[in-house]
Amino acid sequence: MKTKPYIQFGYWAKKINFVELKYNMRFLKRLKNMKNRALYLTFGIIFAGILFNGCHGEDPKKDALSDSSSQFHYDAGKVVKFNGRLFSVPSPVQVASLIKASSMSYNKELLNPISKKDSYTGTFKQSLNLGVYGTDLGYINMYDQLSDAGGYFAVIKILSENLNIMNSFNEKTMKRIEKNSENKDSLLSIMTSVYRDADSYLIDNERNDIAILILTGGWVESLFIMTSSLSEKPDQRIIDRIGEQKHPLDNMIELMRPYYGKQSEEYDKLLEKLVDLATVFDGVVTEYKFSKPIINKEKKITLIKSNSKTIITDFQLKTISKMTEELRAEIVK
Amino acid sequence: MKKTIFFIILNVLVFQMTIEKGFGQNDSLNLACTDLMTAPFVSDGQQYRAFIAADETAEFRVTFYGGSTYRIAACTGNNNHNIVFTVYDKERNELFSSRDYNNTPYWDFQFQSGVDCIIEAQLINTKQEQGLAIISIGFIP
Repeated sequence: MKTKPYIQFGYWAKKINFVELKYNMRFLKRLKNMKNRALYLTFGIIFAGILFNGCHGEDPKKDALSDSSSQFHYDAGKVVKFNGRLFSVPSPVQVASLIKASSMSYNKELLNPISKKDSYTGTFKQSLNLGVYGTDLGYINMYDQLSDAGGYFAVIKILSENLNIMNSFNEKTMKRIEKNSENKDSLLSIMTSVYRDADSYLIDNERNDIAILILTGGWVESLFIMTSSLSEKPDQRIIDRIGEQKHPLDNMIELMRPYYGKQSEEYDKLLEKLVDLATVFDGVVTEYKFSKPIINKEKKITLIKSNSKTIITDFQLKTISKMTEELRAEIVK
Repeated sequence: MKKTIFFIILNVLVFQMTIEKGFGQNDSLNLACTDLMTAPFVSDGQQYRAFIAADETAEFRVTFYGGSTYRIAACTGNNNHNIVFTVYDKERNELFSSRDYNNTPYWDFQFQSGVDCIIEAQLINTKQEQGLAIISIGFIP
């Protein structure tokens, strides 16, 4: 009998009401189910109308909406999750941006070779590696290695097809890629749009488990690139950024947790390994001090002056690097 | 009997059209919010949507990295000013609220160091009992 992995997540653990998480619903489920409900309700209304000798005075649309509302346990004033998720996962492309800003050289050896695409046959591996290749493509774009970008875009398209999320990689998108094949900024914008559309599509179609695996693969790859880059040249900004992954990792685990024991053995193993990694991250200390932000109304920008300091020891860093390398090797195997 | 069948078919068609229109609106809403994420910002690869009632609040937590500039965009319905979004730090100190700036649909944020934040969104000035709240986050690469 498996028990769900649980670790203390410090601040977040205090804030999360898991019972409420269980009973909160996804808005799209309401919309999708409304179609069937509306149909049944219509027949119901008509049947009732016939019984009571007339169908006058009822607004079927209103009934359908109120029916769906009552089905979803609406509570006045309660907090609703976006996409049924309470947490966001930071974009791995930001990590690539930081690595480049640290004057590190482009290292193609760090990336997952596109030749391995054929070895990913099941949904689990395909989803994870769609995330991995997305992060790699972000890294390639940041370094202007546009000759390598084409191959990665092609693999992402193939994996998207295999996972039936081609809506995000439609003909229009392919034409945009061809047209902007030598424009780094445009390619980056297209790539992030593709992943955003895929994420939305999967959530809309109640395939959130796949969306989360894509996010997880992308996150692990970005952490792998960061930790591997340190061996080339230690950089405090990258060390800080690794330490800042503490809460994103907690968020990732919370996103994956509802599917534990319901997907596959390999899914459960992945989550357990992430929990192991999170226990090491738990030792990373973050000191936070609030400062009043400065707002520039004309430029519509706010400078957040609050200061966070991440304290991570060499031992923690080495342990995180080793565990990440093993985790990533398992994902891309 | 014929009248009943006709009425059933008519109702089904009306409902089909209503639901399809609803989905179509969602697509256009997505595009509308995306339009607020103009260059040099690129999307973080996710879109945050919640179907909420007028008295509900949608929220999620996000880590913003230090040394980065972000854009948060919010939209709903046909009028972007029907939604208010507020950004708090993890201690619930308010960092920004769009209600103080005419319910602006987007705002940029420059972070000096990494900060864990909570983003909340609420519908306002709407006669609808429920609506779709969409948040997009972009950053400058």
